[in-house]
Amino acid sequence: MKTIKATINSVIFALLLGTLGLSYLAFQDYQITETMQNQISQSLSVRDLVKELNPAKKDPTAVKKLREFKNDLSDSERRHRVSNMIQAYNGHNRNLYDTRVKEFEKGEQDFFIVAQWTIKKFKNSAHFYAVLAMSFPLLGLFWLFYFFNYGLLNPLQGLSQRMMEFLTDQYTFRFSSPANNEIGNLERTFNALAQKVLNNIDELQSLDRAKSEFVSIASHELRTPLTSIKGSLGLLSSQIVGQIDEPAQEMVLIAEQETDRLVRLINDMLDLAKIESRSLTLEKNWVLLDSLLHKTAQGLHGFASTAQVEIRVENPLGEDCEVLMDSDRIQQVITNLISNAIKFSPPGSHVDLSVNQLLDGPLEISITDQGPGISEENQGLIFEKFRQATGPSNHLVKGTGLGLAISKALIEEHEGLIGVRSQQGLGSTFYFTLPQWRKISHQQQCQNEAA
Amino acid sequence: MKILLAEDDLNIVKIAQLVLEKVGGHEVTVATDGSLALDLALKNQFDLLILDGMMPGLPGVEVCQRYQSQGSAPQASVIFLSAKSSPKDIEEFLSLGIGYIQKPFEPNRLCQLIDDFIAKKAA
Repeated sequence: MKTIKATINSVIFALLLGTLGLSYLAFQDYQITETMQNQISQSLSVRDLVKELNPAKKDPTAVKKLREFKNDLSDSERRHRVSNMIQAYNGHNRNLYDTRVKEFEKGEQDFFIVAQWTIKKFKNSAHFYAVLAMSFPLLGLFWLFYFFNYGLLNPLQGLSQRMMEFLTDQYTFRFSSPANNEIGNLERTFNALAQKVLNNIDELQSLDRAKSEFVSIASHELRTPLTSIKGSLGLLSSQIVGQIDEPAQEMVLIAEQETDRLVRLINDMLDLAKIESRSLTLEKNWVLLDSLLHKTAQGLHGFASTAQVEIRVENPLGEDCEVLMDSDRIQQVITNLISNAIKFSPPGSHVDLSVNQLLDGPLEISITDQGPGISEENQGLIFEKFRQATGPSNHLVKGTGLGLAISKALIEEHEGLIGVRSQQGLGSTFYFTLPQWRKISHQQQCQNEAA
Repeated sequence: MKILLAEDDLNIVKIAQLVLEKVGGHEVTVATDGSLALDLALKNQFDLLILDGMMPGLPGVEVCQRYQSQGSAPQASVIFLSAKSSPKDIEEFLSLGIGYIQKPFEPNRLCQLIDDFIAKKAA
């Protein structure tokens, strides 16, 4: 596999090797020119020396210098000419010495031409190698720049973009042809992860569908025998099928009430299953709050008067306040909370249904009773499924244990909060908030979004 | 009224028939599966068909659709009686019939419910 790491390493290694090699070549050529330059300057100084020498006078240091010069020479003809010159000098022959000096100068002249040509040639080639050695790292830098951009950063950016998309629930993208390197490995891993997530989502969805289907089939299957039971009991209690005595009537009444409770339980379970599987769609509209509150309270009037409890509606916001909500569902929540309150209210007491505007915007609708209150420990539990507060209550209608769980789910679907404030012995206040509301009288819409 | 009651659960048939005859004073014919119900509805002149949502043979919705496309005028009104309660099902029932009664129903109120549906349709 041709990895990015191996590519970068081998390119850098090749660049280093090339730069070093070329630098060495340039250095060698430069040294040759140095040597030639030295030879030229030595030769020039010797020329000056021999011009001033007088064969009539003895000058041992000059002769020594000449000998040294001669020994350093590699060219045999030049050596020969220098040694001829030294002989003539030592022979004190002025004429011969001058002739020899002339021969020497001529010979050196030829040498200069060759040397200068050589220097020029090697200087050029040293320059050439030096420029090449310098351009190697530059070329490498360009390559790295290109490679980092197109081989690394762009694919990484693409990958991070796909991951961002993934976060926004777009699971369908796959890299079509991952390269055979580290980036390709990342892309392949991404593909596998995406597939896994997609499979899990599919599995969850099918489980969820299976659950909803089960609940709906189960409720259908339960309703069919309940229809016969409820029907028979109804016919018995209305005495259509014949007279029954009073104790029997009482038994039939108990059976009827419990059958109704079972029916409510099934309906509540279906409701909760729908909300939990998010298959419940809210039909939100702007609804006048005041009329909804009065309508809901009115609907519970019969139940309240049987329990000898008064329902009082307090709405300081007036009739022109509209709330964005699914009115059937909110009515269901309020009905549930008021009937709970009535169930725990002593006869002769009252239940208050009131509205407040909270400081940070949303409306709070609260239901306050004068019942026994709820212990702090139980306050956290009652919104869970099948958790009912125990204690003295009039058993007019038995609850299913799902009402508060449904209410909580419905309020949360409205982006509101639901809760209870209570102290034992001092009654309870159940409240929930609705974030979107406005006053219609002041044309301006003071629509509030809860923080 | 001449009523065809199509329902596969015999206990429910007994109760509904009893109420319809004793309380409402209607003339009730019973069919315990969908295809028989369709057959009876096409061959006889009923005022009202009460159809169960789920029946062997043909489901109530299909009985209704076939009856409405094949039957001769004047056609009987259709009321569905079902344990199904999803909004989708209810919507389908109400698009085909004049009313929908959820199981389990209140036997004492069955005749009143039927009268209300018919009155609403007439209005």
